[in-house]
Amino acid sequence: MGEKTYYSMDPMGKLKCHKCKKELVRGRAVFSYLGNAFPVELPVCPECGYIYVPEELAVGKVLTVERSLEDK
Amino acid sequence: MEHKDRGFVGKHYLMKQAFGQEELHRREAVCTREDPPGCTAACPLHLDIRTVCAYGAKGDFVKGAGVIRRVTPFLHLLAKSCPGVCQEACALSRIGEGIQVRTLEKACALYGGKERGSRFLIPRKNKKVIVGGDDLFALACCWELGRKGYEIFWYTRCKNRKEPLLSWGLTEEEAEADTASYELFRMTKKERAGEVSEWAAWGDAVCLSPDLWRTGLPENIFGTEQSWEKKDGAAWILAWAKYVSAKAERYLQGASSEGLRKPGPQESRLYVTMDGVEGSRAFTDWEKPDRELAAAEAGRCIQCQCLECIKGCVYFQEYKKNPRGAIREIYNNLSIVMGNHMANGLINACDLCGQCKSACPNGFDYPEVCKMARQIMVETEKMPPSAHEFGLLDQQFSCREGFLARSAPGYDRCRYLFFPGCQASAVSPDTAEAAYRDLSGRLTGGVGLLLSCCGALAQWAGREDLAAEALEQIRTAWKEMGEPQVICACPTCMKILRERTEIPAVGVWQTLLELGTEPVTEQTVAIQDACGARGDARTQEQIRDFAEALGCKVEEMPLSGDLAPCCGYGGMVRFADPEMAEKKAAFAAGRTSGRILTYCMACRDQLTRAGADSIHILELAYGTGAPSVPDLSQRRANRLRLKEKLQKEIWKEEIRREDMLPVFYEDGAEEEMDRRMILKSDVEAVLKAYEASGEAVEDPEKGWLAASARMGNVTFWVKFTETEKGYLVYGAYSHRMTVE
Ligand code: SF4
Ligand code: SF4
Ligand code: SF4
Ligand SMILES: [Zn+2]
Repeated sequence: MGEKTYYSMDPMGKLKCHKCKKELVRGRAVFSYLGNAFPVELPVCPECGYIYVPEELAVGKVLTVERSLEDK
Repeated sequence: MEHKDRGFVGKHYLMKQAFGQEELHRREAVCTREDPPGCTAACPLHLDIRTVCAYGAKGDFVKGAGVIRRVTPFLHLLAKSCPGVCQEACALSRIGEGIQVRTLEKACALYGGKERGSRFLIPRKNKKVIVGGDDLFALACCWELGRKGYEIFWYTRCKNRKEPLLSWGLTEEEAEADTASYELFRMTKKERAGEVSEWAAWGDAVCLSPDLWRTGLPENIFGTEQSWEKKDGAAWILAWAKYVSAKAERYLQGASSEGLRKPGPQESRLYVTMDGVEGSRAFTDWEKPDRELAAAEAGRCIQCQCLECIKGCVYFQEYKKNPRGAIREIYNNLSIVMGNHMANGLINACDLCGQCKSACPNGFDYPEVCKMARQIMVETEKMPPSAHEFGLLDQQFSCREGFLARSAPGYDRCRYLFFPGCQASAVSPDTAEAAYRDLSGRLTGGVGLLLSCCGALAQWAGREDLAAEALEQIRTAWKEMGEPQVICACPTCMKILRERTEIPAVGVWQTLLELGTEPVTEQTVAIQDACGARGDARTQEQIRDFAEALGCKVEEMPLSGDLAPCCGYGGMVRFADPEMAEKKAAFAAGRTSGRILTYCMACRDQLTRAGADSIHILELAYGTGAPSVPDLSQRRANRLRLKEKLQKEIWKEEIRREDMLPVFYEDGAEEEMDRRMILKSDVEAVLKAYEASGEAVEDPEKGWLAASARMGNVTFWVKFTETEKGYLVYGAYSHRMTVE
C-alpha cells in the first residue's frame, strides 16, 4: 500500500535536539495510520531518539497519504 | 426500510448497505429527469427530437438525419407527411410557438439525407420471415426485421421497394434515399401468390399488411386491424409496423409479447425548467427550409430538462451531478469492500440542507440518502476520520467546557429556558447575552439559561450516539428546571428539539413578537431563510413580521423561503470540505447586493465571510454584534467568555481560571492555523508539554524550536521561540499519522 520509503532528508549540521544538544541524524522511523505502517527515514536524535516531522512533509506527502488511506 | 445484513469479508473489512437494489430503483424512479421531453413522448415513433435539435442548432443535419434513421429509414417520407403532433406537445408551445419539427426533418432530409450515415452491423439469424403487402406498412416491416438479421421474403405486387413510397408523393430520388439501407439486408421480393394462411408454413413468422390481415390465422402470422388515413401521416403506420414486427420477433425468440407497448402518445412526467425562457415564434416554414433558418429554428429548442434540484445547489453544480445519478454512486460506494471509495467526498460535501428536496417537483429525498450513507460509513468504520473530527470536538466543547445550565436566579424551577445555541455563543456572544437579559426582564416566572449544542453536528456526521448524548444532557437539565418552555434562538435547535424530544420549543422571534418590539431601523433587508426553517412557513413568516416590527422593509431574494440555498455551514461541510462551504456561502451571499438579514448565526457568520453585508435579526434588535467574524479559536473563546461572564454577573459564581501561558503570534500565523484547523488551545497544549519535558528540535541557524504533542488522533507541532515576554509562535502544523 503506497510507497514504502517516501522521504529522506539530510539533517546533518542543520538541526539539533534541544534537550541533548546533539545534531539530528538520519534515522529509521515508522509512520502508521489506520492499520497501515510505512518505514521511513526521518531526522532523529542519536541520543534520546526524538523524531522530527518537518512541516513540508506533514502538510505535503503525509497529508496526501492520510487522505488516500481514509478513502480505502 | 430494508436493512441488508452486515457482511464480514476478510479480516477487517466491513460492508453494509443502506438499502437493497429494489429500494435503490424505487428511489431512482422518484426522479423523472430521464422521462422523454414532450416532443418525444407525443411522437408516434418517439423520435429523439431533442438530440436532432441539438445537432441541428450546430448546422449538423447529417448527424440529425442519423438520429432519425436509427429509428426509421423514411426520413424523406416523414419530412413530407408527418402531421407534427410533437409541435403541439413542445414545451415552448406553452409560451409561444413550439419547435417546427417538420421543418427540421425536412432540413435533415435536404441537407443530411443523401448520406448513408453509419452502417449498422447486421447479425445473421437463420430464420425466415415472410412479409406480405404492397404498402408502406409492409415495407416498414421488412426494414424492422431485415435489420435484425432475419432473411426476408417480401410477398408483394409492387414492382420494387420504392413503389410504396412513390404513392406518398416522394420523388424517385427521395424514395431511393429512404430505401438505400435495404441493400444491406438479405431480402427477396416475390410475386404474391397463394392463400395467406398457407404462408405460415413457408416461413418461421409472417407479417401482414392490414389489407391482408384477418383474425383466425395461424399463430405465427402477425398483423393489425388498425387502419389509417393518409392525412394522419406516415408516422403512425411506421409505429404500428414497428409494433407488429416486434411481436413477430418476440415470437421468433420464443418470448412472450407481454409488456410490448402499443403505439400511442406517451405521458411524459419530465418537469421542464423554464426559468428565463421567453416565448418565441418559429423562424421558418417547412416547405423548403433554408439551411441557416432551420439551424436557427433548432436553436430555439431549450433542450428540455429538469434542473429544479440543481439550479440552487452549488454542490450539485460543482460535482456536475444530479440526485438520481448520485444516489447510485453512493450505493456503489457503500458496496466497495476493498479499493478506493471514490464517493466519500461526495457523501460528505452535501449540506443535508433539504433545498433540493423542496425544489423537486417529486420530492426526491437526496439528503436522506447522504445521511444514511454517513451513518453506515461510521458503523462500518469507513468514515474518513479527518472529515468530521474537528466539528465533533467542537460539539464536545459546547457540551462540556462551554456547557451551562442554570435556572433563573432565585428560582428552582423556571417557566422559561433560553437556549441560544452553539453558534450564537460562538459568533456573537454579546447578542446571546442581550437576548437573555431582555427575556429575563420581560417574562415572568423565571428564565433559565442553557448553553450547549443541540447535537446537530453529530447528526450531520452520522454520529447518532453523540447526537443522542447531547440531547440527553439537555433533557436532564430541562427536567431539573421543572420542564420549562424552551426558547430557541436557532431554528435548527428548535427543529431538532421538536422532532427528537418531547421538549416544547419556540423560536425567540415568536416570544419577542409577543412581548412587543420597537422599530430600531428603516433599512431594506433581504432575508436568508435558514435550513432549519425549511418547510416551516410559520417561522419564515414570524421572521418577516419580526423584521418589519423592527422597522425593516423586507425584500425577497431569488430562492427564498423553502428554496433558500444553504450558507455552507450545514452538514458539517465547513469541516469536511471547507472549499465547498466557501463556494456555497458565496452563492448564497451573491443573491443580493443589499443587506442580508439572517436568523441563524451560522448563516450570519458564513455570509459575512463571503463578503455580504449580513446581520442577524437579534443583532439588529439589540444593536450588538461585531462587524468581523471570529476564527475557530475565537469561537471557542467566545463561548467560554459568555459562560463565565454570565456565571459571574448573574449567578454570582466564582470563576477560577488557569493561568494562561503568555503566547504571542507572528503575523499571519493565526490565519494559517485557522485554515489548518489548529486552535490556540492546541498550541498551548504543545507548549505546556514542552515546558514539562523540554523536548524539542532546534534550528540553530534560524533560531526556532519545534515541539510536538499528540492529542486525540492528531499530532500537533509548533514552531516558536522563547522571549522575555513569553512564547512567540511562528506557526503550527499537524498530522494524523503516528510516528515511532
Ligand atoms: S423545446 Fe426541444 S426538447 Fe423541449 S419539447 Fe420542444 S423540441 Fe422537445
Ligand atoms: S447541499 Fe442541500 S440542496 Fe445540495 S444536495 Fe445537499 S441537501 Fe440538496
Ligand atoms: S428536481 Fe431533480 S430529482 Fe427532482 S425530478 Fe427534477 S431532476 Fe429529478
Ligand atoms: Zn535528544
